[in-house]
Amino acid sequence: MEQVVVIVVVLVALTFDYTNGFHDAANAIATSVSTRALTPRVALVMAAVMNFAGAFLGQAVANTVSDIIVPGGSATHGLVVVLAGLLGAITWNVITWAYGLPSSSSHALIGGLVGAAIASGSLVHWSVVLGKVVIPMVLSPVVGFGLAFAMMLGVMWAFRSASPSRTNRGFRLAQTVSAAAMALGHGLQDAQKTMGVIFLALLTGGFVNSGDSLPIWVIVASASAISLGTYSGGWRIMRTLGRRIIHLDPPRGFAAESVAASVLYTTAFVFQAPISTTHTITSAVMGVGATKRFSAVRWGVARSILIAWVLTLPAAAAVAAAAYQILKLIFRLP
Amino acid sequence: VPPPETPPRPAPGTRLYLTPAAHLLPEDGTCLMEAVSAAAGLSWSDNPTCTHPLLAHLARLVNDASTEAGRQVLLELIPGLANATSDAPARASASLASACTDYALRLRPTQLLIHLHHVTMTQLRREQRLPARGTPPWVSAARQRVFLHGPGARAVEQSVRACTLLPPAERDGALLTLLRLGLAAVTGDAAGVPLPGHRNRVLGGLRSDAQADTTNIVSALPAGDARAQAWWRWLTV
Repeated sequence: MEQVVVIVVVLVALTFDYTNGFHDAANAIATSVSTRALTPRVALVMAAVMNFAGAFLGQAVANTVSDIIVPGGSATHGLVVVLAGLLGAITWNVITWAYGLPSSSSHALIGGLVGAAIASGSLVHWSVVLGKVVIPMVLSPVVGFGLAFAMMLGVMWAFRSASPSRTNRGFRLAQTVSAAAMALGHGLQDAQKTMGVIFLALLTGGFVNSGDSLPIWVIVASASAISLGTYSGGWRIMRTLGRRIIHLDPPRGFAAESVAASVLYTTAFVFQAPISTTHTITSAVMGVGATKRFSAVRWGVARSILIAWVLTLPAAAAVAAAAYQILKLIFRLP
Repeated sequence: VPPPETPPRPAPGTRLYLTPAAHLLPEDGTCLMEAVSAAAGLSWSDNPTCTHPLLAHLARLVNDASTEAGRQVLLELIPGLANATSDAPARASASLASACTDYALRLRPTQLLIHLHHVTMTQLRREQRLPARGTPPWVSAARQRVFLHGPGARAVEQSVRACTLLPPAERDGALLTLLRLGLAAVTGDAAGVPLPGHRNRVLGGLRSDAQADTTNIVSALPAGDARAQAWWRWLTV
């Protein structure tokens, strides 16, 4: 029984990973495409490859995600809790997509796990939720905005007497690197969230021990799912069906991507914190825009981030709790 | 072709040049709705308050999906878009979304479009009825908001998608027609839109030559607003 449920959890987690890549593909490629640093096809292939590579760079975020809850009861019950958390996150993502509400896949995943845990009476490590999820979640866009603003000021000062056309050419080239770094950061952050959930399922089912490192098949599967999702989602964005691309000049594109990538690396390697890649790059873009005129800050986007903060965690938790009650009936759990 | 080093800028006295994507600042380029915000004398935005939000969404998508040449034809719609609000915004949303799906279904019917058309028509019928007694205003407002950002937006996106799948020679015309239909649905001027080859209705109204120059646009701006004129001069010179 446990084996069947584990397989279901892994498949659902990989589906979540795929949709995460599909949804967030624009983060890695939008600025490079808008500055014409890269053609859409090259940008997409590069983003998919770097997403894949990024997933192999660390396990700290995965450890944090798998440490958020400790599912109680039998192995099957524990796996149902993890499955409910995942279903809650996916359902909330679909609802927000269908009704155009601001959301974040990362926050939905954490909210889903916490909601399912509360509904099942499992243990929630609130110190981890607060210290490694909520605080970084709030701080990362603020830091992204501030650092991007500061870096862009530095770039403007450093190149104040340089020829604009040569500067643009140079930064367009540099943007190839910064876009790759951003895609690597996306893989590093978001693929690890799925790895964390799969590891939690394996741990709950008794297939691994808490001190074990992540099985290589988990890393490869998660990396493949997110890079496939990125590649598929990118085309949708190129066909103007997704989020609108903001046109930036090459220095701004470079500054925004570099800062966002730095924030993603720092939170993953130093603080082991899962943060939203969408919020980070969006706030960095607003930060570089603000250097020229403060009116360039899109406060509507800032409001969307704020709503996502307030709405996603409790809503995904509520949906996951409902999913747990339904799954409990299906699996005839006590 | 090497990319231009600076965004295309209109030469003095010539027409404004529309570019794809959103722009943080006018110096980076101008999309259709940003030009509308400037024309209306509002702050720089691709979602100005002078245009119904779902119509603005449609205009942004059409701007981004059009070819370089086709995008410049959209300039003729700026005066209309600069004054495209509705006294009944909820009904306008439903009307716009259903007009879009209705048109798109004639181009390229898909299961998703059929479903979205059904949803938008249901919403339109609901909006045309008198509000149910006892429904709190906040419930109606929330329902309208959900439709606007959800099924309404999805209907508009899929309609634009249907146009983009047409052969290149037909794509720009279809996108322009879609935007005209949307504008007509919001302003109530439904008699003004030609639907080439798809309906028997022969509709006139909006100019078809699509070659409005700057002078014509400035003269059509709302009430000769000084701020709008200043914005426009800044953009076109």
